[in-house]
Amino acid sequence: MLKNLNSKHIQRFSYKYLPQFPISPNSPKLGFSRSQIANYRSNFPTTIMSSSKTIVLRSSDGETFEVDEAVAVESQTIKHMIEDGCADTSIPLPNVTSKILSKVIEYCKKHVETPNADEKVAEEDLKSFDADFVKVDQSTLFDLILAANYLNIKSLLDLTCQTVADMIKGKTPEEIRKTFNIKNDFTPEEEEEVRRENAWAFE
Amino acid sequence: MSSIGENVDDLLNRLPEEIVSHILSLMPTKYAVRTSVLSKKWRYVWMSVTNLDFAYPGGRPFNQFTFTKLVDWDDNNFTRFVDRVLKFCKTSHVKLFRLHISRYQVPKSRLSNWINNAIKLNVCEVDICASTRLPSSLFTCKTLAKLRLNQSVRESLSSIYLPCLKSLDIVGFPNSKLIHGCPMLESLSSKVSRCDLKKDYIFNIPTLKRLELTFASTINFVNHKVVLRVPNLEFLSVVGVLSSSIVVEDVSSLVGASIACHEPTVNQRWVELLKIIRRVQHLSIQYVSFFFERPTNSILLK
Repeated sequence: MLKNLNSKHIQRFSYKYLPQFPISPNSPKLGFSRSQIANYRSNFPTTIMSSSKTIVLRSSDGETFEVDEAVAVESQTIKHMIEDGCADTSIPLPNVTSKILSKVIEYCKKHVETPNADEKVAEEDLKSFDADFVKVDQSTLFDLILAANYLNIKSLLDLTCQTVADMIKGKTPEEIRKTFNIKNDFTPEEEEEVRRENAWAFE
Repeated sequence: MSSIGENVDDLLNRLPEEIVSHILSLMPTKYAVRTSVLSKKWRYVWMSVTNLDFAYPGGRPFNQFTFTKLVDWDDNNFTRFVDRVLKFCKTSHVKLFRLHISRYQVPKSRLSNWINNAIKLNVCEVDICASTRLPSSLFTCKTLAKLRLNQSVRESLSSIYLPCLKSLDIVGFPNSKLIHGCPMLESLSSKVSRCDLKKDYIFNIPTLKRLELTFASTINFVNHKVVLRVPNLEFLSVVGVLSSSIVVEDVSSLVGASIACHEPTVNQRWVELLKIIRRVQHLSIQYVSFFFERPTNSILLK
């Protein structure tokens, strides 16, 4: 256990978990020594060990990303892989490039960090994060949808799909064609027929 | 990345069909069907939507101050549209069927026909705003999980059996037939009107976790009580003008509450209610001044 510890772990440990433990004269201060951590771990094995675990994700282009397990399991796909014991070394994600994976990780981190938004401030902060998150070019947006679908992250899939829906909803066909670069291959007669079939939709 | 003039990076090429149908289901059906004219490939894509969302003439939902205009429901583009969508939609499991018809009165037979079609498609959620009487088949729909109506559930229904219903939003208090017919009801939202308060009313729903009561401002103060016999209630919301007092028998499971007072003064009934619910974890209080009609005080306590 001690062999796997490095300074990265110690920093995370102090930042994240200190506020949760009751403050007493004997409680650890910032900047733990390795022996202190080993001592702590032996006293509170379950709370610390499971919380500080990280998962390594490997994108399709070979880049690796180390993330907290709590962040990684926002993805139901990854969660099931961990539960099935397939996450010993790293989890390969052949369908996700590093560019998209880093964005997805950013999204999951933000949503894990923000506590269950009962407070208005946290809720508004998250909303504006989400709004900025989807301000990307169309191709990246589609990639995010595909990644959210493959990784089974419901909130990200809902967010990205709603963004695309808002690009379609209420727009004229010409505007939609322009947005998505769709070529109108109807003849005028065919187009007239389609408009007649669904007349009320075009009112 | 996308080349101009080609359809290479077209939505339909990039995303699988389930996702495209999910996206088209996130908007009123009118706009989803509009995509049929984008290009040949797009012509029938809308048929895979899982949500059927219709609003006529479009916009604000119906309220009780309606007037009947003359519309020929047999020869009407909207009627043809709804019929066509119901006929051609490919899904066998409709997630949402929403029909908001304001300012006009659709004939009972036509509305029943549409609702029965949705029931045949195993609809999960139904949201109807219409001034027409609803068919009894709606109240024996085995797949219905969420129901929202802008009218009350009439006493004259012969049988009510909604085994999957978890969420109900209606006008008026639910009668005993309705409560017995919804064995899994978890969330109830009730717009209280004057005739509901003609006598004491007891909410006796053991499965209920969430209750929202909205009292209309047109009701005068009555001496009757509203008793909440809901032992598993986790969230309570009371909005409007508290015309009768509310008695809560068992608050032990209550986690959150939301109060919005729309009266000029916070009178005794509100104070008594607050006394009952004060130990909850999350409490939201809003006081809307009668004269200025905007929230003047909003506190979120933990």
